[in-house]
Amino acid sequence: MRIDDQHGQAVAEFALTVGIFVVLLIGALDLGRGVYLFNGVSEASREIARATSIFPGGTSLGSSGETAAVVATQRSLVPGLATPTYDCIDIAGTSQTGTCGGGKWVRVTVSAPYQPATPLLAIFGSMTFTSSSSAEIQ
Amino acid sequence: MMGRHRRKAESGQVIVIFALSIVVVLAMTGLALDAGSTFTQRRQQQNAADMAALAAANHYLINNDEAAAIALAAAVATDNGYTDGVAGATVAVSLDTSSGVEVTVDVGGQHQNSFLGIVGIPTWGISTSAQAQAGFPDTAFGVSPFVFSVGAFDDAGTPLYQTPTEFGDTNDDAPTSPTDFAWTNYGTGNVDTSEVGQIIDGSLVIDKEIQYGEYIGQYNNGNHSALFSDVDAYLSDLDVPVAVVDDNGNFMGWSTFHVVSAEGGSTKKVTGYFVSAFVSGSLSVTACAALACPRYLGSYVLKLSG
Repeated sequence: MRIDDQHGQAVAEFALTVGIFVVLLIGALDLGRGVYLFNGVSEASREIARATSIFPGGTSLGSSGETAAVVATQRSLVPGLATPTYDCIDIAGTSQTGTCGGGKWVRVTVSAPYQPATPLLAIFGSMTFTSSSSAEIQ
Repeated sequence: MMGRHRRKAESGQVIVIFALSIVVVLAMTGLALDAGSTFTQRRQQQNAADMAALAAANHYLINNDEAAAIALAAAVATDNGYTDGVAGATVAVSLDTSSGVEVTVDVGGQHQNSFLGIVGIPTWGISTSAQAQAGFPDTAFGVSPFVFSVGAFDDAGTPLYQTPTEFGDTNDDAPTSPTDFAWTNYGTGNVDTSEVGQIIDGSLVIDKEIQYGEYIGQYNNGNHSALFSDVDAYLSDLDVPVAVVDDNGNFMGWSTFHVVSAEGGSTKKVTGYFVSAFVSGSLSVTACAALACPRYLGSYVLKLSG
């Protein structure tokens, strides 16, 4: 009887331990994914802003081949990266009309969805990381 | 006794799973932290390359000395933490002086991973490249079909009209006063209204080399009343490159003009202002031999180009 008792206890302890442990494990993985995605989105906005500031794409800001190439590279690094938005602004952030040329600034905003896998966090649904960067048109 | 053994064995099982998963957790957390730190290093490297290229291009423009410009690029990269051959970094500088100057700076480096060493990735290579250009602007895309008077600029090339002003005093072949302008299709002979209209709406793009002193005024210019509404419709709120001519319609240089509006009918005025200094020289400029560049006449360009 004692042997069986202790056997069952061990299984129960193991089951409890594993449950908590798996949640902690997935939580740690989620944290890593989240930090990576957050940094990746920030870096993507900076890289795209730099390319767009050098190759603005004429009357349609962000339409240059160089910008498209950088966006493609960042897409391969950051899963789910949304199509960037491009705003023509001045140094103070005021929106500008007309062709975005020298002396004006481009503001690139990108976002990517983040869906945690941890059961407790997943009930809050998907989060979105957004980042924007500005660079002076060269 | 048996029970104790089994219990110990099962406790050991958790430790084994824990030991295996801690590697996965460390690798995942490490990936996130090392990737973030790599992104940061990439930005620092890119900034070092950008600054080195700009500094070298500017130095060449002023001093016309290739070796000194290359040395300065390396020095600026060092100031920003990247020296060729030190700590796995590579800094390569090259100069192209075929048209103005274009400096290319490639900065390579190694990111020392803090965590990913445990899964066999001790370093990540980062390569960044920057190009900077300096010289005179030699190409104007989307040049507009009107020319302004050189009298609209002072001796230093600074525009006299930097707030909205009405242009279009007289009906002449060439602008004869500072607030006058004339139509052109960048050719000689009679100006063709429909051709000028196509230049305004963008269906005709002028691709032409114009030399200093070349005549681009028009005979029988006329005011071409219909063109004013085209300018208003297609060019309002845009900065457009415009040619600047002397009183005889000979090309002197160019500037950038911001169109506010235009009105035909009996008014026949284009309202706008200049947004850049008058740049002397032809629209197609060959190598700018630095010290010979007449900078006092207007602006020169220093910018990142790649």
